[in-house]
Amino acid sequence: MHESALADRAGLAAGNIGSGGGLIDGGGRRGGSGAAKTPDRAYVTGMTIALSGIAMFFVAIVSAAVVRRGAPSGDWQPIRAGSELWQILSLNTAVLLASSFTLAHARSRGRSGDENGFRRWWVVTTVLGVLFLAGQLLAWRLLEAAGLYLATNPSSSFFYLATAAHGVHLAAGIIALLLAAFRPVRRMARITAMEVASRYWHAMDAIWIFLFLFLIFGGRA
Amino acid sequence: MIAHFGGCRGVAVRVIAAALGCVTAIAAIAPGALAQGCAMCYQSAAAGNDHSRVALQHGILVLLLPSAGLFVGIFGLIYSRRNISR
Amino acid sequence: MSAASQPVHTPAAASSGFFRRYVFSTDHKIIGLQYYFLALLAVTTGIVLSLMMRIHLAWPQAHWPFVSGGILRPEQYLALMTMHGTIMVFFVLTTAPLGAFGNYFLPIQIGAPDMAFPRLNMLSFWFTFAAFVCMLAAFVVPGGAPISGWTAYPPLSGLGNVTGPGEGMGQTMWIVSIGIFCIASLFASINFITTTIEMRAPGMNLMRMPLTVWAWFVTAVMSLLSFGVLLAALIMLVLDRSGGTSFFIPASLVVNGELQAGRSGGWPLLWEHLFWFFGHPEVYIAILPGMGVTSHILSNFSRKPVFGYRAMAATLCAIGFLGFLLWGHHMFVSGMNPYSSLAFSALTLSIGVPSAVKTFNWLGTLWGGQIRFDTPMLFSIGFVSFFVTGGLSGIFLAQPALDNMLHATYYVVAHFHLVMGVAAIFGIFSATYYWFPKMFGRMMDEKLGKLHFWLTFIGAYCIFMPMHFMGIYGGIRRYSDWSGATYLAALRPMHEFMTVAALATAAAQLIFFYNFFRSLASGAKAADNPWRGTTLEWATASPPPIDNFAGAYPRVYRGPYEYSVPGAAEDFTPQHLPPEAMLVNEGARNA
Repeated sequence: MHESALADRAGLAAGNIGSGGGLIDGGGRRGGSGAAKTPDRAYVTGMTIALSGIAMFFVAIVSAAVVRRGAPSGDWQPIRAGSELWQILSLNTAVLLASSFTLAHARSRGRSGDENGFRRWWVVTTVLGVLFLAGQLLAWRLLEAAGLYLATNPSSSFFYLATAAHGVHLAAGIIALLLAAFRPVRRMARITAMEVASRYWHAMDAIWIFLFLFLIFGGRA
Repeated sequence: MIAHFGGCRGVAVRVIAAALGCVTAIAAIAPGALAQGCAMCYQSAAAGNDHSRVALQHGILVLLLPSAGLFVGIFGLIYSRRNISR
Repeated sequence: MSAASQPVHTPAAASSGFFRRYVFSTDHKIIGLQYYFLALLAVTTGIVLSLMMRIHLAWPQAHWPFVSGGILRPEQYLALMTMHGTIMVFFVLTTAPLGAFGNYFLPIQIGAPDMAFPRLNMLSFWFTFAAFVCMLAAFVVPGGAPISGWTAYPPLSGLGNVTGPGEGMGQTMWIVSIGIFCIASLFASINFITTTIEMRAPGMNLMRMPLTVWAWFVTAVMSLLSFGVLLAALIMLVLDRSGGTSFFIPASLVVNGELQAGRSGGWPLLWEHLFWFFGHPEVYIAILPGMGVTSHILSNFSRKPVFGYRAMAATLCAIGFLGFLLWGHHMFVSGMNPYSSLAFSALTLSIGVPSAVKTFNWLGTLWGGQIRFDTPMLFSIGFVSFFVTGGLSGIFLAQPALDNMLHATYYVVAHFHLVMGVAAIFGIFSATYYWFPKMFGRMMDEKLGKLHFWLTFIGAYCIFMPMHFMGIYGGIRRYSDWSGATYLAALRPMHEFMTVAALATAAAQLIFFYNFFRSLASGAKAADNPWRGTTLEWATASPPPIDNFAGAYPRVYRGPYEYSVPGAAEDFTPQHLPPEAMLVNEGARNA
């Protein structure tokens, strides 16, 4: 009940589809009978499915690294860029992990009707996300300072590839978080949009932890 | 039609058991099949060292296990929603 | 739900312009047709390319009018081969069965008004279209089309135009095209899976879904889990080409006299590992919808339920699952560990089991039925024929010891053309003839359809059966000219025979095009249910209204293949007919 109250306050009732022209829509699916509309739970399912596809993308990168590490040329060297790099990466990991907690906290605030608390913690989450990306850029600077660029050696190539791919996905997640909470959502309840965005966010966190552990333990020859 | 299918269930079990038995028997008496591996041995020697063989096997597992898991997971998802409709 | 507060909004047909209705439409039916016509364009291109290949193979010294120097050079042949394979596999076999028919009929068959995400659907199509434009652009960029095959193995594909003509800009266009295609496929598979899970009509539980829906669902799951891997591989290839990395490029390669400096020890096998992880599910993506359509049509035209519906659904899932486990059979001769080869070989053989179950069940569906040999039925029976023929050669190729000899010969070419280039295409043909009345409200000409079938059936066997012998004899694939090998000289008449057959079969396809477009314009008007089918697409008008059911969404009461139910008035009982309506004898037409 508090969820729909929250949504109402944001000006949108559950299941409402704005009739404001909007984009190209050749199918006659606006409003009308409830049977004709995509149910909100479909958006959540859709995100779960999408995350499976995205997961395979990252799995492929890791598998490629595992295979490349053992290539007959034997030229794999672990990343040597000083302990600062691993400190920054650990800090970033902590920041991202914290953002998942703040996200969950924001949603629980929202569920109990505390809209200010919800907004505050939601913004904290996105700020942590931005901090994470800044930290990743810093990690790249450290690598460059150690003379490790994209093409320098195989492990540095994978480092840049994995972190860039993840960073791009996380940036999209930040945008999604902002849109879900603060822009009018036309096709689904705001609650659903937030559920969808937060599933994505937690998944990006989990993928980062997996990549991070791989970089630490798998990076060795 | 459904009754027809149900009545065959006992037969189906016996057929499957027989098939499995045949497969096991054939596998047990066909060491020659392993010769296929020997035919490839020379080629594999040229491919690389132990390290690369293991790396490829691990790489195979890294691709295989998550995809198999996700595949089963998605079917689990549709199974859990089997009675849901719009 | 606050539906009551919304005015009932009539479909936007009248108020939208041409572009919103037919070009940037979010209606799954329009999008399905857009995919279909894209596939028609692609298949025409692919056939022209293949005819050029065949003419060159039969008469390597023939003079070509628009080729400088007159004779087709090996690199040009390789470019033809690359583009033929790529366009056919991606833009025909991955778009038509799933994108065209799946998009059009999945929502209708489950009683939904549209896909779960119509705008994402539209995006999928336009991305696919953009990918096709990019692919065609490869022909006209400097250097021309790439020559590395649809498999794009590095280092040939990984070093730019030092490795050959077309490997510069052409290969880049290819990579960009397929990269966009990957994203389009991922979007589409999200839509298909979510729609099937969440948008089914009341009463449509899993065991009442038509086998076409099962097939599209499994195909979409395979698509979802494999295209991401291809995308990752493509990104690495781009980095190798433009970023100086060495994922795949070994060190110290000398190409055309030039030392490729600055590379560390990349491994070409890594590309194979990634590509074939995608590539094997891809070919099952190509064939699975055809299997679903075949079950569907065989049942309809035998007036019998599908034999072993549960087994058919289970084997679709089994083939989908196993299809992920056996990509290594494309790498038997790569020098990979023979014990890995043994594992992949065993798994490859095991996928023959569900395939055989399906084949026997198709035969079981036909057995004792009141068979009507309409054109859709002929093509479905043809599907079974070519699937068996093509599948049998797969069993031989699955043995590493035999594959040692047969790899990269015409035996392989025969195998995959029979299953993909013929069986899957027959699946598309039978779906076209079957659903044409529903999509366009008109019937196709039966006589022309039957003529098309017989000419294609005979022609395809003539083209591809000799390839088995060629392969066993030692005829190597991807070679543009065997003239230098005396031991292959004996095979030249075979090439000529196959080329003549190919030209004749291609000409026979003109019958199909003529029939298709003429029927579109002036075919006999089709009833709602001309084939007396039971599934939900036959419960609505031909063509369906914009929301599929004119607001009267069906409820499902029984399974999808209730034909010849004992005691029923008609020899088919539609899924949506309420049980009380079933008992009415006279006038028991579709509700």
